[in-house]
Amino acid sequence: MITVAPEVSNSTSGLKLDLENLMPEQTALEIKNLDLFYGDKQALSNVNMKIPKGQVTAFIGPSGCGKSTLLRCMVTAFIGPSGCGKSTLLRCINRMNDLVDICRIEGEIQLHGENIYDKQVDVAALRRKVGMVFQRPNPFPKSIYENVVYGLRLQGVKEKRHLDEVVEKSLRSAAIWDEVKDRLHDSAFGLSGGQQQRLVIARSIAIEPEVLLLDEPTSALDPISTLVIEELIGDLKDKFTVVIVTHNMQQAARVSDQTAFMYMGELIEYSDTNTLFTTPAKKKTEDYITGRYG
Amino acid sequence: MNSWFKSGSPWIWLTGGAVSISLISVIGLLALIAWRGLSFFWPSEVVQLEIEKAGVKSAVIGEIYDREQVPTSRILATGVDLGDYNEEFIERLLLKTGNREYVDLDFRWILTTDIKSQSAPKDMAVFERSKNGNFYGYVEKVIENGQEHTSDKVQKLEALVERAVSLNDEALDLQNGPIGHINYALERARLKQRAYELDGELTQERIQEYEQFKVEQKAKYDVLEAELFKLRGEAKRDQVIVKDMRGEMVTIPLYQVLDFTFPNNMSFLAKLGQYFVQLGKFVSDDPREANTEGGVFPAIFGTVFMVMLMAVIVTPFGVVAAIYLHEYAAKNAATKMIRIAVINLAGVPSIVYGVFGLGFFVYMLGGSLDQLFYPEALPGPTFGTPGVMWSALTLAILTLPVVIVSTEEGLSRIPSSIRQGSLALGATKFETLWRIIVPMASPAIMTGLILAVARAAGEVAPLMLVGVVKMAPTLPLDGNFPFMHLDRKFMHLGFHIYDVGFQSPNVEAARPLVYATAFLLVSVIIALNITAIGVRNHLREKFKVLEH
Repeated sequence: MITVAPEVSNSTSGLKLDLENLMPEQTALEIKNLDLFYGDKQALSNVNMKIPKGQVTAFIGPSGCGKSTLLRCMVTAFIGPSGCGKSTLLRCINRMNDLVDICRIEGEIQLHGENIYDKQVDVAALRRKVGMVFQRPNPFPKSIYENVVYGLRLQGVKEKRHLDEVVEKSLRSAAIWDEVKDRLHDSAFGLSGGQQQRLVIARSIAIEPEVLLLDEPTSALDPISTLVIEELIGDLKDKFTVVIVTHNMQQAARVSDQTAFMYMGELIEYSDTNTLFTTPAKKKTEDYITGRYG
Repeated sequence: MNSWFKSGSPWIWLTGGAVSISLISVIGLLALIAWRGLSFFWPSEVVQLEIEKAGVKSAVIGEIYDREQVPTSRILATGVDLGDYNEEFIERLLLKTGNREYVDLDFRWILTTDIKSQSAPKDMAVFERSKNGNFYGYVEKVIENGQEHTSDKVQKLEALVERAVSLNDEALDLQNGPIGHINYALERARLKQRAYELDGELTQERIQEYEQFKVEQKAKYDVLEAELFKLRGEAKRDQVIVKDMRGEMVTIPLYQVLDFTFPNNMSFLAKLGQYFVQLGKFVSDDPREANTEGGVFPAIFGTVFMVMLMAVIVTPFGVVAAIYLHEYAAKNAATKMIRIAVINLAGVPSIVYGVFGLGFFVYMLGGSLDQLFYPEALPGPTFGTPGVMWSALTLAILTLPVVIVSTEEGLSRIPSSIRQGSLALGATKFETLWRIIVPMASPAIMTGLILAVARAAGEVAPLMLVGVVKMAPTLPLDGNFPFMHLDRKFMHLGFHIYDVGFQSPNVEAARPLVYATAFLLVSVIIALNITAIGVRNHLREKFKVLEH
């Protein structure tokens, strides 16, 4: 399917965004010269990219390629082989990497023009703006209702009516309302894996983040749950900038508007999804998506 | 044989055997103390033995407590003439003869060769008395208000004993209740007055007020005292005349009688009823006669109260310390050293904690507290003397390592994905800890608490230095403000066992009580643990995390 030479321009159709020269008001996140080290090992090197607002960006790449690390950045999909730094990149975006003692970061990530690694940034406030869903569903040992309102309770919201409204709205947005509306006060652990993952998404969008980071959200789920969540991602991009890390290239092709390919901690190629999958510019990308390695 | 080894079954036998041996020892231990302790309350037969010794005939009445075989030579060596008895062993009985004030010893060894006949007369009565222990004999006459009854003796006696018991109870309630309150109020007023005096604020007005108060209280006291004497006088009205084993008539005032039974004339059901009555008294009564008779209620209460106080102190301390060590402290050599030190604290002998508690808590802390807050009571100490609070604190330090270690284990078992989930929603570390992590670790905290309670409830050695006494006149909890008296000394089941078993003037009488108290102590600890385990299981169910 990929026979076109990699020299194809990325300004083919008017609908496509020029990812290199994105206007500031179109940009949700901008990553500049990002390097990340775990101790002596460099996990991300010199990543530069702009992630547009209201779009799905996918990161692909092999496990450990830095996709997730970066995500903890946008729906831009990151693809790439394991260990390529996709997830690492993702985790930079809401500073989940702070939890790793030996992690060190150089360069910057700008959210609406402000560097999130600035010393003055309140990390908790940043994470309220940049929500994140992890590979495995991680509901809290509380009721479904309490899981959804957890973020709001942290912000001190007490009014029952407001909480009820948010619960319904979030659960509807996460396409799980009909399944749980009769057992909101049951333990979240009673849900299936796919339901738990949608609950976790509902929990993240209940606090209305600007950016939602999904770190391989379907890797632990069955195909049907995966399909439901993919459809959900399509709906979510109307309200949030979604960044997704995935191993699954079909998934990236299905859900994302832009796709970034990472390999060995480097951003190899980043363009609109269609272009990346049909006419990749780099040899490595082509090799990867045609299944020659990774 | 070789293939048998390879099959692995020897290991199954070895490991299974180890478990069985442990189980058998535990069950055996419990069964022994339960049997020896609980059978004590069964109303045993009272026998009348006709004995002839060196041609002198006499009768002995009592309960058979024990029987044993002794070498004949040992009896001969004590200078006893056994006549033509020439077997190697000779059997003897231990008889509890009661009637302590009329015989030299209320426990007697009797050689079976001396016994001419044995009977269990149906009309043999056992009187349980508040002084001098049991009395065995035949009811001859009942004297009600100076009037003698010889017919319907038993029914009359029952009614009269009931009357005397209720009068005694009333008098005791009066003494512990209203009269106790007055004494307590007077003491507090005196201390307040003394405090004014020390502060130089003792005005004429206050002196008058105090005098006035004293007069008022004295007037109330006089009324109550008159009532008390009246009750006591009433209780002293009746007597019973009993024929004892010497054949002499003994007058027993009924106010000393707590209960009387005819054990030889009881059906099985009646005995069962009596058994539970006795068991109930053991659990709910105060001790009498230097702890060798009566119940152990103050000791049960003291044990449970002290352990709960300790749990209330040790849990927050241990949990907070564990959270710091696990969540906030840098993961370096210093933290490791501290952790090792904490674990090693659990190995320090408990008496060392007792010495520390006495030196630090009682003398230093307590002494300073007295100087600062209770100068009016000096030189009498308030907190500068062993008491229930210092005991609870000492045991809290003793059990702190257990709580810290198990809380830390609980914290480390919580999947990091849950923490990340909370942090990703904008929670700070503290919020994550408080709302998610600590509740999820609560089953582990409860495990720590269970271990702490089990250890603390069984500890005696340190308590002997910091607060336990043989006999505490008041409980640490009563109706006088401020209701909880943490400065008071208390009784403890563990110490009670030691005291009754080894410090008692009447070893034979005390022996079954030692078993009964030991069984009770084990029961109390098991009850505390089962409660805690119930709470823990409930929490576990609530915070069950699916295995990821």
